[in-house]
Amino acid sequence: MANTIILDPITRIEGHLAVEITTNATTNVASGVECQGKMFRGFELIMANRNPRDTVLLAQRI
Amino acid sequence: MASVRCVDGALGFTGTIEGMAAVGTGDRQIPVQGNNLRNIIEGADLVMSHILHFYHLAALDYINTTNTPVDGQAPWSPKDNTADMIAGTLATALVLQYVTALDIRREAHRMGAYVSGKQPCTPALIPGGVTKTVPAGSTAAADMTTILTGIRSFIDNTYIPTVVVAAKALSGSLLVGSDAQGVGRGCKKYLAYGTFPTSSGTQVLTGGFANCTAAAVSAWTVAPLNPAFIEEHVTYSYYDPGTLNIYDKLHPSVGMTKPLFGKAGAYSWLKAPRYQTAAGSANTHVCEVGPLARMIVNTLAGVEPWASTVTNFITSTLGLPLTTGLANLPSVLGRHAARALECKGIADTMPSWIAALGTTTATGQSYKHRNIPTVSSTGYGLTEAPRGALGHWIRVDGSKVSNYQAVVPTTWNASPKDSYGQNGTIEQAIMGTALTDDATGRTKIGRIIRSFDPCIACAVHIVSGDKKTISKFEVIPNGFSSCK
Repeated sequence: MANTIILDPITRIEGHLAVEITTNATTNVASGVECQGKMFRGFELIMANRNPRDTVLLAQRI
Repeated sequence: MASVRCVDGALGFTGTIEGMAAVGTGDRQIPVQGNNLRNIIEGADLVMSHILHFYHLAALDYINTTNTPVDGQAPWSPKDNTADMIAGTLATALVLQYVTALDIRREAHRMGAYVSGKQPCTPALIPGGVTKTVPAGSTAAADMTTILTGIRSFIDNTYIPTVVVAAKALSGSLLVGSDAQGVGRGCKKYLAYGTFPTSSGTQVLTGGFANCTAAAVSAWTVAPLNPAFIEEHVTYSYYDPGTLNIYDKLHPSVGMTKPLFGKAGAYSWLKAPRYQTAAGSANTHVCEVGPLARMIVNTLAGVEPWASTVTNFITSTLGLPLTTGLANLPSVLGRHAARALECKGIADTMPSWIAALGTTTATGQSYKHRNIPTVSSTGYGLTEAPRGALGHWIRVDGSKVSNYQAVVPTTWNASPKDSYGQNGTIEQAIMGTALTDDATGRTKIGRIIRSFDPCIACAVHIVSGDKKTISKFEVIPNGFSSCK
C-alpha cells in the first residue's frame, strides 16, 4: 500500500512548483517523488526575431 | 548577467573565461571599470537575495511563531509549528531579525542602484559594459562603501550567528532530523559555472564539477567546467521530443523549445538539464547548483577565500572535525550555511571592486560599442545567479535572434526525471525521507525544497492528499524580487 502526499503549490518560493510524493503506507518513507514545474516560461519563443540588444533587458531576470 | 554576456559574445567581445567577455583595454574586451561595475551590480543582488532567502522565505521553517509578535497575524499565521522549531524568547529575537533583514535588503538594493539605476531588472546592463560610470573617489563610491559596511556588520553579527543557532538547534548537526537515509542530501554532485571575473582573467567564484558521492570525503573529486557537457532532456517534460527524439538531449546552443502540454508520461514544464560524464558520453550526471555547489567546488579546488572560509566555519565556528563537517555539508542546513558564507565572502570582496574603480580615460571607461553583426554569430553567457549556475545561449542571423535558450538554476535543481530515468536533485533529496501528511511531514518537505531556494511566493496554499485546502496564506506580492 502506498500513500500520496501532494503539495501544490510549494509555498514561500516562486509559485507554480508542486511536488507529488508516494510513501510506503507502513514506514511512511518516500519511495517516489515528482517535482512538477507548473508554469510555461516561454522566454525562448519570446526572444525569436528580436534585436539582440533587446534580449539583454527582456531575459535579464531569468 | 548571463543575458548580457551571451550578447557580448554574439557582438564579438572575446572570452578568456568560459562564456565571458575578457576584461581589459583591447577592442574586443569589456573595460575594466565596466567589469567592476557589473560585479558590483551582481554582488549587490547576490547579497540581497541570500538575506531574502534565509529570513523571508526559509526562516519560518525553523521558528515556532507561537507567542511571538507575529503570532496570529497574516501572513505569518496560520502556520505549521513543530516541536523541533526554535521557540520562546529566541524565536521572538529571530522574528525581529526578520524585520531588520528587510531594511538590510533595501540597503543592498540602494547600493547597487548607484550603478544600475534600479535593482533588479536594471536598464544599465548593455553589451560591452554598463551605461553608468562611477569614478573612484566619487560621492557615489563613498556612499556604496558606507552602505556596505552596514550590510557586512549585519551578516557577521546577525545572519551567520543565526544560521549557526538554527543548525545547532536541529539535532546538533547540519542535517534535518535523524533519518538514517540522510534527509535532504540530494544527488551529491555539484556544478558551478563561476562568476565575478577579474581583470587578471580569473573569477572570484570559480566554476567546476564536483563529485561527492563517495562515502569518504578524501575520495571527493573536482574537475574544471566544460560547458560542452551540458544537455537538456525532455522525455518527462511538456516538450516535443521530435521525430526519433531529435530534440532530446541537445546542447543549449542548438536547443529546441517546442511546448507540448499534456504529453504522455510528462509531468513538468521544466526540462531536465544534465552534465555529460565525458565528452560525447551517453552517461550524464544529475547536478545540484547553488551556493552549496559553489562552496564545495571552490573548497575542493582550493580557491580562496572560500576554502579557508568553509574550513574555518566547520572547525572554529561549529567546532567539528573538518571531514565530519564536509561530509555533512550536503544537507538542508548545509545549504543555508553555504549561502550565508558566500553572502559574507562576496560582501567582503565588494570593497575591492569599489576601490578599483578608475578615474582616467583608460581606467574609467565603462562601456565599449560594437555593432550587431550582419553575418551569423553565436554567443553564450554563463554566470552564477544567487540560486545557482545560469546560462543563456544565443544565435543571431541577419542581425536578429534566430535561437535563444536559457538554462536556469531551478531547472537544474527542480528538474523532472531525465531521459535515462534519473530523478532530479530535489526529487532525490526527498526520496527516502520518512513523511506523514501532517505538520511534521509538511515541514520536512518544505525545509528540503526551500533549502534549494527555488523562487519567490505570491500566494501560499497547503493542500492535503485529497487536494482539499488545509490552510491558505496570502503573502504580500513581492514586486521587487523576481525569479532567477
